Parts: sequence; C-alpha cells; structure tokens
Amino acid sequence: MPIRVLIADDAVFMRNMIKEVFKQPEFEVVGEASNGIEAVDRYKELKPDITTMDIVMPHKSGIESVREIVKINKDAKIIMCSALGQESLVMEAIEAGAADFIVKPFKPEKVLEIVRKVINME
Amino acid sequence: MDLSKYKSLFISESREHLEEMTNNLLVLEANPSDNSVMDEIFRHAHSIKGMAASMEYDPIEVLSHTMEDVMDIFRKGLAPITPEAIDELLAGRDSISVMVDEVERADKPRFKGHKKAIDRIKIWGRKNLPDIGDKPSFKTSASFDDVPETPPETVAEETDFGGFDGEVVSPETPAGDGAMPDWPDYHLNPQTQKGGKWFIKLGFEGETEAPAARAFLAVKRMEALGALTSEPTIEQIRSGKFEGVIKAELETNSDISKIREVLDGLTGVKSYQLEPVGASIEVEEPPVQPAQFESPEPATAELARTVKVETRALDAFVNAVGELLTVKSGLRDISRPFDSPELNITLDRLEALIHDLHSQIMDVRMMPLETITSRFPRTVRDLARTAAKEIDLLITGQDIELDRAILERLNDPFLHLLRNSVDHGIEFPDEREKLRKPRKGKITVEASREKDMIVIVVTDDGKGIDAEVIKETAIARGLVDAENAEHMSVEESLMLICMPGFSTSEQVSFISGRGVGMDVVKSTIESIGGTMRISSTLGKGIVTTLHLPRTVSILSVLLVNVCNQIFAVPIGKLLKTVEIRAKDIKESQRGHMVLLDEDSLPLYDLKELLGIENGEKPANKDNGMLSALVVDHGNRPFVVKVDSFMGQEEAFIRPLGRPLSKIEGLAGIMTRGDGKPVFVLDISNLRSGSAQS
Repeated sequence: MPIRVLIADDAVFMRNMIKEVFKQPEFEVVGEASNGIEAVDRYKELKPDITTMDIVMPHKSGIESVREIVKINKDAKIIMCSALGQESLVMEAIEAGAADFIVKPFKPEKVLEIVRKVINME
Repeated sequence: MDLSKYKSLFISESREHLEEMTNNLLVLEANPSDNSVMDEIFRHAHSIKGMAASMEYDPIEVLSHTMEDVMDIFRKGLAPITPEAIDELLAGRDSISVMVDEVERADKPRFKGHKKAIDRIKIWGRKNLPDIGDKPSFKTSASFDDVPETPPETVAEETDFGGFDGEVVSPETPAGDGAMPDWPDYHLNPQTQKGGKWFIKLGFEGETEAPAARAFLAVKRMEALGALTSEPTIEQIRSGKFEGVIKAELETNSDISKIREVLDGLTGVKSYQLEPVGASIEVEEPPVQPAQFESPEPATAELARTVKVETRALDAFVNAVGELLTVKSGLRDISRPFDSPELNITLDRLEALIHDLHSQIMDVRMMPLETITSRFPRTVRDLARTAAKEIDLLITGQDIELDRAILERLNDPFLHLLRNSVDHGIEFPDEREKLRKPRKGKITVEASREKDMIVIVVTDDGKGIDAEVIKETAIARGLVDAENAEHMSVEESLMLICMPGFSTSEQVSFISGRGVGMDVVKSTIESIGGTMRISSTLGKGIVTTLHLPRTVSILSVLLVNVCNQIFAVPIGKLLKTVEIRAKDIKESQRGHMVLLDEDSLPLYDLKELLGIENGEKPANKDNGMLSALVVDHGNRPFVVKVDSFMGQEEAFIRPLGRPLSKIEGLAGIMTRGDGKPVFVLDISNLRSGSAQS
C-alpha cells in the first residue's frame, strides 16, 4: 500500500512541484487543497497518511487547519511548507501539532528525507 | 529538477497574484485600516516569493520578500498606510510584473533594473517605516547583488554555527562541564537503560534552513518523551536565542532505543550526544542518509480541460465560417431554377449548421469586459494622484462579454475618456468643496446589454462642457461655418469636439480642455461598428454613451441599388424602408425635407452622399414613388433616397484594410453569393461627412 499524501497549497505551481517530488513508488498523492478550509475537508474525507500544508493560505491559514485536523486525529502527520523568514510561524504550527516542516525553495531529496522520517515516527 | 516546465505556470500564477495585488492595494488605499486586505496583499507577495525562490529567480524573490516585509509592518499596525506607501507598493508590484514579463520573453532573464527597484522600496522603507529588528530583508541596505548566499535572516541575526565544530565533545570530556553553570544536579539512575535521566546534547548543521524552527521542533519532540529541561529553553528559542547547540536533560520512562529513534528522526542535527546522567558519554553520528531521490521521469501532463489557442486561429475560424456562408448563398442561387424541395431542405440544414458553428465560434471569441476594465482602477488612481485630485471609480457590468476583437480596440478609447475626465472634467478637491460637491470626484463606467448591442456609459461629475463655447471654438477654427452651427442641436454641438483639429494637446487648458484625442475615440468606436454620443450639463459633468456591437462580422444587411451599383446597409441602423412621393419632398434652407408620418425629416440622396454620378435620371418607379431608407440616428432620424432595394442578406463583413479603412462612411466589405464584393455603408457617418463638407 503506497503512502497516501494530501497536498494543501494555494499555488498550483507549488502543488505541482510537490506532486512531482512524490512521484515515487511508495507514495500516492490522493488529494489536493487550495485553501485551509478545503484542506480540512479533504483531510476528513481522505484520511491521508501524510499532509503537506502551506502556512499562508486564503480563507484559513495552514496553522489553523493543523489545529482543526489534529482535533480530528491527534496523530495526523502534517508537514508544513514554509518559506524563509517564517520561523516563528513554523514554531506556531509545530505547537499546533504539525509533525515537521520543509522550507521553500525545497530540494526534493530533503523533502523525501523529512517525509520518510515523519512516516517512520510512532 | 527541470524547472523549465514550471515556467509557464509560474508566469500565469504570478500574474494572477500581481493583478489581485493591484486591486487589493487600491482597496487598501480607500480603506487604510482593512486588515484582511493587508493580509491578502501579504499573501500575494508571499506566494510570488515562494514560487520565484523555487524557480531561482532571485531578484523577484528578493523584491517580493521586501514587499512582504513592508506589508507585515503595516498589518502589525506599526506604520500607517499612506498614499505614498501605496505608490511604493504599486511600484514594487510593477517591477515584479516587468520581471515576470522578462521571464516569459527570455530564456535566461537578466532582470535589468532590478537593483533599482529593490533599492527604491528599501530606501523608502528605511526612511519611512519603523526600524524593526526582525525584518532584515528590508532593513539591509544591500540590494540583491550584495546579498550573500545565505538567507538575509541568518546574516542579520549573526548566527554563528562555526564554533560548534571544535566543540564536539570527545568521550573523555565530561558532559556539560562548565558549559552550563546553572544546570541542576543530575539525579543519577545508573542501573537501568530503561527510564531514568538522560543528558542530551544536539549539534545542528550550519546550513540548516530555519535553524530556530528546527531547534524548536527538536525540543518539542524530546518533550514528548518525558520531562525536559533544555538550554536554550523553548521560549528562548522562540525569541531567537539559539546558537546551534541544544543541551537538555530528559527524565523519561522510554528506553534508549526509543530516545535514539526520536533523535535520529531529527532533521538538521549533525551529531548528538546521549548519556545517562552521570554515566559515560556516547557520541552518535546519525546515519548518513543516502540520496534516495532520483530524478523522476518527466511528468506526463494531465490533460487540461482548457487549451490555449492562438487568436490567429480564432480569426481564421471566423473567416472560414464567413466563406461557408458565402458558398451557401451561392448554392442557394444555383438551386433556385431546380426548385427541388429536397435540395432546399438540405440547404436549410446546411444554413442552420453554419449558424450553429458561427455562434459557437463567436462564443469562444467572447471575453468579459473585465479583461480591459480590470486595469482601470489602477489607471484612474495613478492619473488622479498625478493630477492631485481625489476620484472614485465605479465600474458595473464587467461580466458582459464582447468579441475579443472589439475589446482590443476599446482599450485606448476608454483610456482617453478616463484621462479626459480625470484631467479636465473632475475639479480639484478644494474647488469642488467650494462648489458644494463632495471632495471626491466620481467616474462611473456602466455596461449593459440592449438587444444585440452593448451599451457602455462613461460619466463623470466634473465641470462638464459648454455647447456654446464648443460651437464658437469650432467656428473660430474654421471647422464649421457660423450658419450651420446656428442650427446645431446641443448634442451635435458637443460632438464637434470629436472633429479632427478641434483641439490639440497644446490647448489642453482651453475651457475644459476636452477634445484631446476625441476624434480618435470617435473614429475607433465607429470602426468597430459602434456609435458614440456625448451629453453634458455645465457644472454637473459629462456623459459619454457608447453603443457597441457584441460580435464582429455577421450582420443582416439590406442591399440597395444606386446608379446600378450595389451597396449594403446594416439593418440594425435602419428604422424602416419607405416609399415616398415626390410631392412630399420640400426644399428648405437646410436642404431637402420629406414629410413622413407627419414628421418632417431631412432627406439625402445616397448618390450624392457617395458622390456617384452617371448622368441617369433617378429611376422613378412607374407610380412615381421613390425608394428610401429611414436611418436610425437617436432622436433625429433621417431619410436616404436610393434607386431600389435588392433584398436582405446575412453578410459576413470584413473590415477594410488600409487605406480603404480611412474612407468615412464605409463600414467594411462583404462578398455576395456570386463572389462579387459589396461595400457595406456606415450610413449615419456618410451623412455627417456630407454635412460637414
């Protein structure tokens, strides 16, 4: 069974890039969300093994979405996608329950390394 | 990763953000305390930054990052939004836009001028915004080229990871020796590997992105194992006090393998030290992860639901449909002698199909008015700023769709109209107050549908124009003679400003100064088959009404014969066709008038309007009746005499090329079923041409 991935990012550009990173036999991108509200909805519906979550999104921020998803499933594995200069937001997201984070512009190998570590976490 | 395939997506998505950013900036200027709009602008800058960074377009990244930081200062309420701030942000936005254009144009964009753009907003920020320590991208005076490879955050915080290398604790060195003076005494529990107290020291990689967040995550993960005291503490890390090393004491029930698992799972940790408190030291190097990422196969693109089509292709489709219509008419002519019902039914079917095809192609060519009006708020804002005026712009009906060929031609006329209103129509704020008008002027652009035409009304509430002054000026310039001018209605007088030579740019200060480029506006509107009318109340403003066709090209026309030549007149311009009696024609000092339904209407002869003469007497019919067209011309219809009517046709109308397009009164050319070309007349313009001559 491949690891099921949900990608939440308001930029199609970013979603496509992240999707390409997950073009690996072990992963399957099962859904995408373009804002925070959608991210929570898609999470409920798809129950993905891992969710990548942009921090800055319209309607509902990534951090707020993490809070809501963690309420639904406290073991949800969410990886924040942050940009340089967002450290305090990343910390807030971790506090909210995010498992890890990646920093844009990201290197595919780095993303996979972090994702694999998070997957292997208990 | 091959970035080139993301280029077009980068361009289109960046442009969306840029456009939204303009709109939001204008909204923000009007509502300077609207936090949600500030957030929006921040988000647009942020999204562009993220994409640019991924595409390695560093100047775009740096500029959008700076704008993001500026917005952050505003949304935290640390500085007020001023028109100057909006100027700077708009300028920054424009520079990004230029750079995105260059990305589209060039394989290897050089982003000429980016330094200036980045410096501009930074210099402005340093002068006008409060100095905030955590906004180094904006604080640093360096422009892009001077920014070292490390991200500006790291530079400004002067984080130095270098010291750690020499500090890796050798097994002989007692842990924590002298390093942590306030460190509490260790409660040793040496007999067990499971549970108890552990000393942990983490050394982080110097190149880690977001090092503080990495440290934060590390502490959080360790905290999940049990009771943790760390130096720096989580709060210290949060406030930026992190120097590349974390020392911690953990009291936990988890066994060593579990602790190792957590420590191994940390990213950015170069080495760690784990030992039971008081026992010997263990230095662990995390296993080096082999690069598992392999460049994936080029992604098979998902089949998109929309495709881009060259507009040229669309034009070609329209032309092809036009030809089809012509061929169909030809078939119709040929079929007539056979009088075959089957043939007629087949032809009807063919005709229906061609019409279907035509309307579908026309739909594809339709674009919302918004395509051009979306830029107006920015234009008016900039013009108003330059002219030191305060103006609100209201646009309605932006979702109304027109053929793209028409839209393309509309942009310039609209800009002329808006510019005239801003520069010459709307008064200065103080002046308006004296006149008991609101300080802020108002320009509206209202679009609506009226039958198969689109009506766009542009109004302003400025000083308006005086028909009498216009007339005098026109007479003085020799554009109209005094006698003609006397009989002109107010509307006709106002239209004089659209005559070439009425006003030139040197004379902008004249009365309202209007007329600049109005001749161009009028002729452009007419070239796309539209009409323009102007009305004005002195002191109250001006109303310009445009009637525009929604689509180009296929029109119902009436074919008329004059001097054995055939011309076509668009049915839409006609009220009706009439037969008039010669005795109903009266001579007056203004020319011929004809009595129709108790109205006396001006009568013209198409032959004279066209200047055709072949010496033949007007082909009076046997009963002495003359054929004539009643032309729709607002509330002043007029009558045009022709020799005879040839019937109605659906014609595909092609615009005339140069130099024929210069001839007044010709709207285009059509081809009849027999392949012969026929001029399509712009009949209302023909008359005005003759009236002026």
